[in-house]
Amino acid sequence: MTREIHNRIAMFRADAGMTRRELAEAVGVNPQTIGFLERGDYKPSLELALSIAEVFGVSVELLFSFEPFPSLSQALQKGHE
Amino acid sequence: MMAYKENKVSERLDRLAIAGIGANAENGTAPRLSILANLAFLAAGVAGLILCAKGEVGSGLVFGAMFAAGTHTVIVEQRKRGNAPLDERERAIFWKATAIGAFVPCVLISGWVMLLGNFADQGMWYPDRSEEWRASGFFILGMMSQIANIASAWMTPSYAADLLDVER
Repeated sequence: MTREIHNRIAMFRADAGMTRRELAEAVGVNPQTIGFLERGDYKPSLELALSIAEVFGVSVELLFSFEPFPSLSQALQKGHE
Repeated sequence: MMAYKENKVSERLDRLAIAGIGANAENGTAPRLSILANLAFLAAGVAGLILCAKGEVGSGLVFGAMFAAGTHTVIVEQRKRGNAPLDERERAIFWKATAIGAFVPCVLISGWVMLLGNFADQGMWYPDRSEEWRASGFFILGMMSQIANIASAWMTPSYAADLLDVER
């Protein structure tokens, strides 16, 4: 299976005011791995995905999806409609 | 690598720049440098084996190449992570590289042994003296770690982006 998995880790991390290093320490990986995840270069294990979701206090579906996440402008536009 | 949007030229240039300007090069973790260093070790091992086969003392050079590759692995791993354990991504790369490092020499040796069956008496070299056997053993061990190092470096994209924005 080679389906692309989209994620919003960078957005949630920025929202939480965390650096990659801080997030890496929180979930027990090396900071470079966070970069790989955010760029979509690496698909995390279920354990790591759940750990990241736990750090942000959201469900894993809010962080990862097979479908591309809408941009902020698209979301705002949808909200107005 | 998604950051490069499949633009291999940009990725290669980035890797070359890291090797050229020395970003993170002092500790040998720049992937391009790692590949070049291990190719040099591999060439030294081949040269040592040829010297040994010619009857000159070459097993020292083969051993040196093997030792250099092993030392390179230890230093790079230590500088990259310190004492931190491998995380799941790094573990995946490690095992993939180790498998490639073991598989490629096995295939090459199998091919050589198969050819040896037909050409052993027709000029094809094979170890005869004890020093040649020793050199061959060192060469195979060295080749395993050199190929594993090359595979590992190849599977690890440029660190440039991560080095710059790890604090962001």
